[in-house]
Amino acid sequence: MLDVGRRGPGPVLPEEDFPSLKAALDDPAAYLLGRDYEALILPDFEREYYGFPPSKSHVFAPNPEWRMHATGMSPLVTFAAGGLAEAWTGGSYPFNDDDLERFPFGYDHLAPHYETVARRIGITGVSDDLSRFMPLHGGLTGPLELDDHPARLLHSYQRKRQSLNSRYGLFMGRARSAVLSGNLGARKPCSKLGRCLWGCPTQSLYTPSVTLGDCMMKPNFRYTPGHYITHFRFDSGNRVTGVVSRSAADASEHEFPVGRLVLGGGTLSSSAIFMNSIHRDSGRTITLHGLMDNRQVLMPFVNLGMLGRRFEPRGYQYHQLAMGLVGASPRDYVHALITTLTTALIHPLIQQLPFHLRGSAAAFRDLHAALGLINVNFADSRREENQLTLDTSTPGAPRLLIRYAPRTDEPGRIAAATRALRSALLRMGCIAPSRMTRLRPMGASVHYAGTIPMRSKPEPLTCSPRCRSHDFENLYFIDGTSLPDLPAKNLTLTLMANAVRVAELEF
Amino acid sequence: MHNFLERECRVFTRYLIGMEPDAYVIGKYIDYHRRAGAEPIASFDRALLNAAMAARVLMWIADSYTAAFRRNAQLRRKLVLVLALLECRPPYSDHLDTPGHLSAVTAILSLAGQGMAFGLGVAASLVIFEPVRLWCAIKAGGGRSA
Repeated sequence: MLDVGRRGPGPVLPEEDFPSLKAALDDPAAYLLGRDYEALILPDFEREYYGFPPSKSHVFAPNPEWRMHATGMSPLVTFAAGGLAEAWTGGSYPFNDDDLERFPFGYDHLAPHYETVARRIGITGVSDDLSRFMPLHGGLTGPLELDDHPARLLHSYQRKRQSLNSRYGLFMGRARSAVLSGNLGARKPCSKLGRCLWGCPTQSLYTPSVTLGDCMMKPNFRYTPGHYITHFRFDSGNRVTGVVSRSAADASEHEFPVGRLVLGGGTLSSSAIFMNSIHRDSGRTITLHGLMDNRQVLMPFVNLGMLGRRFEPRGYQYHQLAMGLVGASPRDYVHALITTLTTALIHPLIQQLPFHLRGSAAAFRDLHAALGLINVNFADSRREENQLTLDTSTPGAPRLLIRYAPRTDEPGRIAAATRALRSALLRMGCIAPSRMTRLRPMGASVHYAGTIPMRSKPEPLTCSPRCRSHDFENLYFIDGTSLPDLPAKNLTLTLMANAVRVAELEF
Repeated sequence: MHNFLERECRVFTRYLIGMEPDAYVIGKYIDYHRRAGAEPIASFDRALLNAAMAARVLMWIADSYTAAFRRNAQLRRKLVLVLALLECRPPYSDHLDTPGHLSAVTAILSLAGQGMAFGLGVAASLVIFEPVRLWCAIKAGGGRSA
């Protein structure tokens, strides 16, 4: 496995919970805000509710080799060991048959692989109202005990369930999360340190570096970090013969012979390698169409029943509850994840309250336990106008050009969904001020997919249902590149299950 | 310069949470400014900052003004910086997270009180700071940046 493989700092004081960590650290501001205060959110950037934790800054650290220009979106790329899911929130939602309508296979084909992944990484899930949208695949473990706020929210939902279901098409249930509720190998169950956002110090919250570590223990696995892959070489029969990298240490070029090449660098990186390889061989500049990403909307709310209650920082920080909102058709399903803002930095939130800062700080003390945030996700589909190509007009390595435009009906879809959610929340005793709802920039969800989609019939710039390129017989894509559609649900679990499926079918 | 920044940090901390900052918070406040370097500051922003440092009541009025009309003002940026430092450091972080009221009703009344205080502060700020802003704008040649 060739990888740039950036790594972050190791866990700091892994036994401490979030409040005691602040007391135990010599320089807590350096840990929480960064040595250069990079996680400080000043009023210029107050559209953000979270500062990105400095402990994970390696995940999105730029690479000088990577050149990109985007129009219509603000994409993020990573060169971290383990990839983007090193900074994920653990949401693990299987696609159902409606979601897989444009895939060359249905849920039955993926179900055993969802189960394999669940058994390997640990995923919590139960049968509840969300099971109608998310099949209950094998391997799931019992959920974590709910904290006070989500427990009250779920109770409110259950009391008003019938009207919420029928009037707003809203269903609520437990989040499916890649977090341990019991032992799994050497990993221990979540001990509710409240440090998820900062990087789980006990590996109870799964990140891909856990699997990478497991793989490195295998005698037939070799991991070679420090290599930025620029392109692959192929012969006249369109068979990949080698992969070319540039060393991160000294920028020297290396070539590794390959029998079969599997690209898993993420949709943007894998697509760039693919296009660059063709360009280097023939001078031809190709365009890949159909780039997709989930639009996300952040909707903060106040649970009136929690006002004035004591805030409990010792808990699981990410989503404990999720919601599904049915649309006119199954493809219009909207996926929403609820977090109750436990141990994120609070200064970005305080400055957004509608008072002077002193008043906002005082009000926040009563509000903190009552605050929640809904992350609303919208589906996307492949469209010709959303594309990737290379800019080869400038000296040096080609630059990736990205062009994206949202669906023309997006404003209406977002308005309808947020209106329904706001009304439903009100019935559950929660207020979601419309002025605080934020449309995240396109690209912020980092769910990029669809540039070399699976097709049953061989066509150029597509791949087989087993993710083998239709252009190069020994080339595979096991990231979002091969997805032919993008439902609203977080795609990471499906990427993992699909990678397992490809491995079992082809290797 | 350090003495001036230390005084700012003390005044802002007392104003925001009614506590004295410790040496760590003051040190980080100074460190931030050292790293950020000297930023150009508009004359009206300077006036807001000076007024806020002069008297606690003016601090409240200037804070209200920047919250309503000038959210990126230097004064507000410095107050947010102090808040960010305080939330990193016990006992200030505990103070910021401890509910001041024990029931939803008293919490709602308190929120209403903060709303009224803010409204009063904004009204007072219009009387005090709008003429200053206009004067600064005229002096700067009519530019909005004043």
